[in-house]
Amino acid sequence: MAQYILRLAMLWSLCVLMLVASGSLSAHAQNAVLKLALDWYPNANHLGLFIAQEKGYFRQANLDVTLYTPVDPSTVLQTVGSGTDDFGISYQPDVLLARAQGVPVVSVAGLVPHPLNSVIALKSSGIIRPRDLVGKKVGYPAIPTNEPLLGTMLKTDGARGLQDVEMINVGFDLVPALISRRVDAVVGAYWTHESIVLENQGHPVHIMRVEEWGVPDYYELVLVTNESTIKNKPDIITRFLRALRRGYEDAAQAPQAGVDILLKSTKAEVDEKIERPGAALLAPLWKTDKTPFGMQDAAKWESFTRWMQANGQLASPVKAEDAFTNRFHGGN
Amino acid sequence: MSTPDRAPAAQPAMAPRATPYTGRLRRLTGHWGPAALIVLGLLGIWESYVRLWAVPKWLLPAPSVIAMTLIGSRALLLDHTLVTLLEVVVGFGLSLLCGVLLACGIATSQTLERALYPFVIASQMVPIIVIAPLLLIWVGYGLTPKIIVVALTAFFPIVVNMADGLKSADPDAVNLLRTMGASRWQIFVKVQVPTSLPFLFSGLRVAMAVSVIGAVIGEWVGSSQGLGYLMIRSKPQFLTERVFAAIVMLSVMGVALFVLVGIIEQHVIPWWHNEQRQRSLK
Amino acid sequence: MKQVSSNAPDEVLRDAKVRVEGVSKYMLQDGKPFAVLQDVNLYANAGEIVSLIGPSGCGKSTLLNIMAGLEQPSSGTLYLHGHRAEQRLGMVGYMQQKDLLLPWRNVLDNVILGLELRGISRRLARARALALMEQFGLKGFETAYPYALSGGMRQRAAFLRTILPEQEVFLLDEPFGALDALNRAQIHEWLLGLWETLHKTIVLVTHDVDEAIFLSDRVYVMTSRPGRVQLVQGINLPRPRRLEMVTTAPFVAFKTQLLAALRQEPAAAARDGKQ
Repeated sequence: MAQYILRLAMLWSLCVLMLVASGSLSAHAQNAVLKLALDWYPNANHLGLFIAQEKGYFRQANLDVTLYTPVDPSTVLQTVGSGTDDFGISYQPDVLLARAQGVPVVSVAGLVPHPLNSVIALKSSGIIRPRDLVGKKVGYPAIPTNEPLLGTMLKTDGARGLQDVEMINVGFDLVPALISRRVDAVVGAYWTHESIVLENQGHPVHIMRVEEWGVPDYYELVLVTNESTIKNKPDIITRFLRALRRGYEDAAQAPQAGVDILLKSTKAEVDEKIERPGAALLAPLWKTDKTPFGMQDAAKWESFTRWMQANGQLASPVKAEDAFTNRFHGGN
Repeated sequence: MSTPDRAPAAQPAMAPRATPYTGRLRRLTGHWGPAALIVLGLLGIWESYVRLWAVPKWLLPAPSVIAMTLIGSRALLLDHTLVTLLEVVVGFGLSLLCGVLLACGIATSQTLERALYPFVIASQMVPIIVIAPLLLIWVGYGLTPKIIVVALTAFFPIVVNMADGLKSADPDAVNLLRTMGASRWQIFVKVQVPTSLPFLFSGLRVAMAVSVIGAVIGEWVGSSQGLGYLMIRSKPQFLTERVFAAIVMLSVMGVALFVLVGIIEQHVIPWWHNEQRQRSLK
Repeated sequence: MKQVSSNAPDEVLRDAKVRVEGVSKYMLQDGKPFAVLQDVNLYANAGEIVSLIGPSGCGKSTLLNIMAGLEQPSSGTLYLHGHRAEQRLGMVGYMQQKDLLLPWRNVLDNVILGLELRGISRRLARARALALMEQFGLKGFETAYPYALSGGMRQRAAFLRTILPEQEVFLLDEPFGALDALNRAQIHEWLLGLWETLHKTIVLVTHDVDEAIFLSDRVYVMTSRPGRVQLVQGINLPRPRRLEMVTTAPFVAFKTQLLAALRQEPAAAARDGKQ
């Protein structure tokens, strides 16, 4: 009995020692451990991130980054706002909605500088402009922003607005809803994703881009962090953005090589037939000649905030300049 | 010799009691008191936590904030609650009808049992979250797919419990009726069905609880009305207090329906509870 | 097989309301057949009460089950009202040891069960039953549920249920087992009084020798398994029977004979467990 206790005590001490040792080791490593919540399952939009991971850009910046997709992607801004995640990928409209509710998230980089959200209809339906949707059914994924987007598009094209169409919440299954003809068009579908899925299945589509129909240009995807990280760990953000920039520059130069890396590094199901054409469509958006990748256009933030305010989407007034910052893009 | 006009003295073990309508309030508080206390205690802890740690409203709203939302948005909440309630009630009713019929078939015919039981089990194993979006495509986006989802979730407990109940009839009672020349049908109606009722109600209570969940899941994947829809619309707008308010309405609805089933049970099979009470006293 | 009185002459047999002729019953246990009943002969004429006594496990209840039609004999024939009766279900009144009152029906609706099964309307059946409730000591308990009744009352309710359909033959399996000795004497008198007005044929199974002698015209004593009739004792005590007869010499003589017959196989009786 005494022997047994002695052995147990030795084992226990060993464990404690190892724990302490590993703890101190990691402290000496100086690698900051970061968690980044993706907005959706890994896809072509995230190419730069996965490239930076795979090619060691994060490591070189002394960052240990974990990329993951939350079980419920709609919680990204909440987890980032509460500090559970250090970074997150989200959408400009959502950032503004969050700030209106007091969620302390700030966009530090724009990943996709134009809307990917669009209205998509089957070519066979003959719908080519928003006006053609009058009296028809439009499916959407229960994300409220889609309603004012469509409303503005309709009004710009001479219709009265949302009251002219029947909005049907079809969840995230936009493609089946359109193919089954239960709806005549869908909004909330990406012209870099759902359109490809539909064409791959043999359904040619017509795309209406929101920014062509009266909606101010905005960032589809942004990198967000919380205000306390900005205050307490600005250095980390700068390093992160540097590595991110390198990743997306590589992605812009060689998107298909980036897709190879994406396929290799994620265990999640990545459909090559969608992501390869998607990456090809996105690459031109990542190419930047004048500003470093990720720098945000203040005018885009201003105009879009005003548009959201005018459409009554913001619960409380939001100052556009508080919602984003370019502070961390200095240096190379 | 004259026939005795009186049998030996009647000695009942316990005369039947009338329901005490006096002291009903005492019974009510005695019954619900402990639960209410626990709920209040938990709410108090929750409120204190949010205030002391300054938890933001969009992350975890305090009970006081949720209460204000319940009052402030009551018209909106009520509208959506009624829609979900309709889905639950209609779906449950559909399940009850089909379930009882199927259970009668399964209990009376071995061939039917062997043929149909695997499907009954399958209906429970297929995850609703997978079936629901498919239903939307097959059936459309109105209330019908939600009703079907509710019916599917409620189906299993109703069928299994009722079938078990029908089969658990006292064989001696069945033999008694046989000696009195009863037909199969008479035995079914006069012995098997009454025996199955306590089992059925047990299944109904479970089915009612899962029906509410089924309705919400049905709404999550595609709907334009209902508490589930309200929840998924409120989340992107960071109106977490509204999500919680919807949850409160769901809970109230679920509990109310559950209690309703219990009340109906009391009226349909009053003898069951009296007998149970009698047994526990002996 | 010992007999004290001679076999009944054939003419008597032809008038018998119920007749069991050469009935045997075999059952399987662990794949091996064993005899529960062996070559049992029994008869009861119209308006007679005959009793069956025997040690536990001698197959008394099985015999009643066969007579009621719940089981069929492995060999032998049964006659009801003078005719061969292959299907006997519903043709005799059968009161089992358990009262089997349906818990979801009140007392009144329980006792009318037999009439209800024959298609008589509930209203009519209830009226008939109500007329007899007092006589059966159930007055005031018509709307009570079985759980609220004492054992004795439940037994009486079961008895009322058995006789309401007004069949000619009744089989009673230890109907007064739930009653204590005090009540039993009273209920014997009551039963005989009832029987005198109803003139039914009764086959009674009991383990109480006094009860058998007091009530019956004839007592059949059975052996332990396999059940055989080892003694047929005619009881020629005068009717109407009175409680005082229990201590008279003829009564005691019958009792002595029957007890002796029962004691024939004491070891076997002790060995057997259930009936």
